[in-house]
Amino acid sequence: MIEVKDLTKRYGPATVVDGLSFQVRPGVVTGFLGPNGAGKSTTMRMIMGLDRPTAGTATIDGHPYAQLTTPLRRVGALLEARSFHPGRTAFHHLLGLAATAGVPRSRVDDVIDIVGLRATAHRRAGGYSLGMGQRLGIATALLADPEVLILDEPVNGLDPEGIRWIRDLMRGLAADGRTVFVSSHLMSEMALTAEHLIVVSRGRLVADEPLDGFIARAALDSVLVRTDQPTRLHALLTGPGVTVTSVDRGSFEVSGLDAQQIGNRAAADGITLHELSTRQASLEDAFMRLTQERTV
Amino acid sequence: MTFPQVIRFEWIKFRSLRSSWITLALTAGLYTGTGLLVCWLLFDPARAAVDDLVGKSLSGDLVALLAAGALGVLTMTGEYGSGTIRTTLAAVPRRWPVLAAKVVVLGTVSYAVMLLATVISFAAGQAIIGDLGASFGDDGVVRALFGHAAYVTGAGLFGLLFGGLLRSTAAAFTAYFAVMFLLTMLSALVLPYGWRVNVNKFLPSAAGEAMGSVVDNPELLTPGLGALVFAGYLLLTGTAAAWRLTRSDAG
Repeated sequence: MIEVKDLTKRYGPATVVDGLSFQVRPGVVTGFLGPNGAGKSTTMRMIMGLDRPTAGTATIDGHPYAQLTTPLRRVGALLEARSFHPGRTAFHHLLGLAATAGVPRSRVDDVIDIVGLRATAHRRAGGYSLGMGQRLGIATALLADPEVLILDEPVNGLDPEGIRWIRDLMRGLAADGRTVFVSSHLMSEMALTAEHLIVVSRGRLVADEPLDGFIARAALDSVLVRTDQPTRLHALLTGPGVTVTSVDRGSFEVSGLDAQQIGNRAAADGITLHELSTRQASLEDAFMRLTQERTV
Repeated sequence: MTFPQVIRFEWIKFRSLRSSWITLALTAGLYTGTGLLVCWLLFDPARAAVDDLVGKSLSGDLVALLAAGALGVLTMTGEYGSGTIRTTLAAVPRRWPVLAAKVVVLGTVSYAVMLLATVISFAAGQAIIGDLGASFGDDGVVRALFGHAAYVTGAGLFGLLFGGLLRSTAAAFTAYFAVMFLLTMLSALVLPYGWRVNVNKFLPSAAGEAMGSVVDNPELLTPGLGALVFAGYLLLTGTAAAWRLTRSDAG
């Protein structure tokens, strides 16, 4: 289990991660969602002991990363961008890391096969495509068969086949009872992979809940309603759990009530409606709205 | 995780880069080549009695220092430039063993190669000089061979530690060049002669040079003292590099 408590990172006046607290549990894929620049990579680097928090703590099964005796056996990570030397082959990159964790050479060959790099494993990594680089990163994460996996934007640069492969891989790892923590800036990608979501925006926690709950809460449909008696209708619709937003003179966007309820109320009060239409929010819209709301 | 495992990690990383071996070969080649050229061009039989004939065949230090420094710097900055450092420090989160293991690996490999280079340089150089040449059995020769190899190797370690301290190849190589080459020139410009001799002795380059010296030279420390001063500088730079490595973000 990964546990983050009041984690904060400032670079000079800029606060990149702002008092984050959450837990990542084993057995499910936990998505770490937020727009680019929300502080996801910085948070992951602090969990990995690579960046020093300004305040707060991050632990793996109760221990700070730096205190793990054989970290690769506990935590496997795919770090953002290329984290390997262009002049070294994938095989030697993995063989070197294997030495720190007492991983046998046969396992190096195994992970090369698992990620599908057999044909190029003995070529220098500088010539790898983005997707091959990503596969090498995933092989690095899987090398010592760790209980906890931290994957930063793993689908970046993968082709559709590769994306499906990594989704299946992550679900399989979680089904084995491992902790899988995966970041993405794409809501649609997380909707397909994650069961639990931790959503951040500008370094702050926006949501920490199961995917279903997040979608139900975030992807509220809204109703566009137009009338020539806006003041009366507005008074009629407002109430607990209902949000009414003026779009222009005479029209509102209403969430919390469906079209039928709005139509019935208007009819009961004799208000003429010129338009009554349901607008289905996409997941991306919902995500955008949620992450922007909290940061104004 | 044990320290030998970290050394193994660094050894695999070192040997799996073609550039490591090319630069190492270049260092040894420049060293030997310069020594032989000096013996061939500058040996004057008429002055054989007063000239330092051993020193002539072992005069490749300055030229070899450029390649040795580049190798040292790149051993460290190559990780920062490529992003490998994140993978490395995730594997060894205490961090300082990485620096120590790099010093052990580069130090050992480079010392072995440089020892071979000084031996070849001496043997071939004295062969060029001919009958008047020195032999391995002569006073101080063996110590000189070890001393010169130590100087070039130590300079490479300087490069490595500057790389750790500054993280960028350009910045680290500039710092290395300034310390090993420019300080001496600078002191010649600004210091009066009496001071200069005493100050220069203690500069890293002169202290390093003293380790392999076989003749009494008033401008150099004794070999033992030179080694001590040189090691002191390395220790100082190493402490600073380790401090930055463990205290700041991985980069």
